[in-house]
Amino acid sequence: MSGETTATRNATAPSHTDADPTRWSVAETAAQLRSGRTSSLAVTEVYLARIAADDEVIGAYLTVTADVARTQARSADARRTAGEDGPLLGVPYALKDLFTTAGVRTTAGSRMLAAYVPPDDSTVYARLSAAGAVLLGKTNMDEFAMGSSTENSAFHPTANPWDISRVPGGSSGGSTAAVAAGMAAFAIGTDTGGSIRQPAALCGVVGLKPTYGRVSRRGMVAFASSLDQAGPITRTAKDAAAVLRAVAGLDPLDATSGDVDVPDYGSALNGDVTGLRLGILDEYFTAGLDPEVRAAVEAAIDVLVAAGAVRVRVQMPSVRYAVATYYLIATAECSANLARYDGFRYGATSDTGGVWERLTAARSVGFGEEVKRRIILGTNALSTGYFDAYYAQATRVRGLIRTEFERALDACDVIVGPTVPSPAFRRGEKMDDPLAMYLNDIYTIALNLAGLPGASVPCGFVAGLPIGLQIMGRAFDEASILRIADAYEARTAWSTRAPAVPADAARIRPPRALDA
Amino acid sequence: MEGFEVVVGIETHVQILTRSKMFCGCGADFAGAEPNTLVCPVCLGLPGALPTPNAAAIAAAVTTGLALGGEIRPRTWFERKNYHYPDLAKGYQISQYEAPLCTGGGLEVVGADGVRRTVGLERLHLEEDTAKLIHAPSETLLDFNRSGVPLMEIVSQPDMRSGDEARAYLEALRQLLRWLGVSTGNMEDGALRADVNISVRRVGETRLGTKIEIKNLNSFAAAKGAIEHEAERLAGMAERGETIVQSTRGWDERTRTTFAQRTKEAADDYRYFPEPDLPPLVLDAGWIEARRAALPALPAARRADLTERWQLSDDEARVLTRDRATADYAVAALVAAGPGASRAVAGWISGPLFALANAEPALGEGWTSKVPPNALAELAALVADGTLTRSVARDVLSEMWSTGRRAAEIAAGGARTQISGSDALGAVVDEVLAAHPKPVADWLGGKESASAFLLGQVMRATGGQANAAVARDVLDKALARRRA
Repeated sequence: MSGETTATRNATAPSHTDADPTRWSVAETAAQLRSGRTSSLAVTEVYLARIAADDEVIGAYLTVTADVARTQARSADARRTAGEDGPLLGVPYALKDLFTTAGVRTTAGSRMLAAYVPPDDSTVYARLSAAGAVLLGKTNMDEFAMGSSTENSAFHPTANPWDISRVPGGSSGGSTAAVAAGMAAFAIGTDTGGSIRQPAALCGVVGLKPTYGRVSRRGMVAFASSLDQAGPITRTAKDAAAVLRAVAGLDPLDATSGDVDVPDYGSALNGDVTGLRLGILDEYFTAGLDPEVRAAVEAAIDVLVAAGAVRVRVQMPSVRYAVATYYLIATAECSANLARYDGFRYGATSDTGGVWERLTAARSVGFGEEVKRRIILGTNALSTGYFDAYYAQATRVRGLIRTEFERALDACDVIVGPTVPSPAFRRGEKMDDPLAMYLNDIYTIALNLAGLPGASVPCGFVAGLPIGLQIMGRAFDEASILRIADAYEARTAWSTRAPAVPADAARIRPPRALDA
Repeated sequence: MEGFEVVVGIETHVQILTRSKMFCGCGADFAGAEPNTLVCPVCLGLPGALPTPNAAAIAAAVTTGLALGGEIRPRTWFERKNYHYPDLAKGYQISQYEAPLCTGGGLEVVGADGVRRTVGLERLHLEEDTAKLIHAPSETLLDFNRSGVPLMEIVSQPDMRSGDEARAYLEALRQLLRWLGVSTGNMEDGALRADVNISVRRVGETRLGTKIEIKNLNSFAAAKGAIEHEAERLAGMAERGETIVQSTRGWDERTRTTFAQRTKEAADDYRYFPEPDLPPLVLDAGWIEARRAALPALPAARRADLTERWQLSDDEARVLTRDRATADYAVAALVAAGPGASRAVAGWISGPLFALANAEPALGEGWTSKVPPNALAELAALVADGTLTRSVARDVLSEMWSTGRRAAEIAAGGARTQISGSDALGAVVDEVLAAHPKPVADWLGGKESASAFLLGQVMRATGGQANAAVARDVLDKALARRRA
């Protein structure tokens, strides 16, 4: 295990003691609340204090909803007093800032929506509220989820808690940084091409992208509708299972949500991986993979094999086209999805000139560079004369990738490999090279095209920075993924490490009065 | 126009009559609503909103497609039509392009000249309406109540050859839409909107000429007028050897001329692609067949039934099938009256009964219950057997309309029975002849028409109750006696 030998510069030893609620897992938090030793309000106050102390350095949050959090915490405590219990009842969490929250601004990381306050709740938020979870705030993200470093946020970047000069990954970098830095017990992210798994790997937390259709997209600001999927970001696989169960399931108001029963994952997490076939994908262990990352991932697979799992070699020749395919389909869809931001009803507006002048001004000012780049790429891919060569061709390749995944997953139960080719890079390092940035998602993107579930779990450190093991599974079989992740966690100690945020570090964003 | 023929195809947008909008639960009956009160995140295009299709709108479109004889696609999908305009909330319209819900079919049209022909249809697809722009003097306002109202776009083949035919097509389409109950079809409210494609070519030419599109025609008269004006203009240009450029024009109702709007240098690029927020629309074959089986008898079939089984003329049949309620009423009355009385019953409906109904437009289709079909058949029978004169029967019908009483009852109660005894009429005729010596002298002098006046006086003196045939006979005999 190569990661073991590398110095972990600012990692502390496992700090999970009863004394620090911000290091408790969701399950531990719920157990503490159940025991009556503490209250949701008390835990919430500790989190709010931690956010006040550290978030100017990390920049995980765009909006801290202290009042909402206290109200929800009191309500959770009252429900518990009334005899109610639940895995998320009273547990504080963070929501990526593209889930609508009635009365709380929802920016999607964009200047376009800097002052946008939605009238209703997203299904994910509504379900978490019903489960009694406590909203600490809305987290930073790449604008409209377009990016792999959270540097495309229109407001401020987010620091990787393991090394604040580095990116947390993206686009759900605010959510993963919050969980890693003890500023939320869990968080919700979204994953269009890797935006949960990649930042989870870079921040050393568990991130699960469920099957497309498993979690309702209603109230999620859309980037690429056929790829977007919400999922949990947690410290343990068990927590991911609990959060998934709370948010998953059919939503009649999302026509693409799946009518598939949500199992009680608890029974699946029994630690037993005997006989489970691990697909090892030739295409994911090639030249672009950092040798140390490769060694760590192979060591992780060894742990599972030692526990009784079986290696199976699988091939998917078309995955090498996944990045190209993705950047045609996702950009095509985003070019339409972002057309609604015309400045006439809400968002950035201009009040001079005629219709076209206003529209142009609103979009010129409201959108950042990467968003503009993708709108232009997508518009081009759909235009007459280009449609067949680009969008239509990409759709065909997507079909091939899906078929190859299905075939591979006939030969094995899950596919395992690296989540990222290398650990977190420095802020600014790839901002001038979009292509290099896009290639950071090389191992995560294909799964979105296939619509299948996958998770990243911490599997070691390279140069003191966490990396992840990716586990990909069959449609609606998140249970197998979680079982393997949980079994792996039980046999290793990576997920118990926590970064220490340096007290004297420079602020990443201006101080802020706690809002909302 | 000499030597030229005009070729017309029509695209119509039809608002489907549903309780809620196409992709959200907002009410679709926006006619009397305050602006921007029937709105939600979906039809306002707010971030994160997702569409969910309206099953009732899909069913109505399938019914319409089947009624038009089209082929329903069992697996289809929605697409996004991308363009920016302030009335388009999402920056794209959810529509259908590659795979319309229905293709083919046709609509039988009876032209002003009475000639029947079938206008072929290219396609029928589902989409959503846009918001409404309200142009105030200094600003433009937006009302999103209409945003997301279900629409069917119905596209004809270029099968029409005159403004009259185009008008007849639109009238037949509106009749069918109302017949099926799928739309109000009101052009003045925008529930039925027509865009016309028009070109001219020399007679005998088979290729189509350059197409001009005239948008947003909001009445039958406007469609006819615009086509006739534009045909003349295009023929004149062709005659003079001028080049016709493909373009879009508007129609000015005031000057009754078309005017240039914009030139289509390149086709619009709407960048259609499958709507990722909606799964493919898969229609069960059994469900489609059930809808086909549930179709009512349609106007063309009802017309054929009236001419063939009931021996009515084309005109009578057309009038009695003006809408479904009238057709149902007419057939019920014809059945009640029995064979032999069909012409008379048709006459009673299209004449006096329509007049009564027209005088109370608020009744709408409710007029059919004012005088039940069998009551009308009874009235016709009383006229046929000579109990009531036609003119008395008209009064009786008015009374039936207002009181709901039956004809025989009214006739018995009000001494309205026909006077057909020649003795009784003889006395009246003598009085009339004595009172009008001048016309009598005219008649005796050879002016035959004077007898009509005298007969009228006899009818008047009897309050219309005289049997006209008997009265004429008695009058003729009395006059003949004077000549002798």
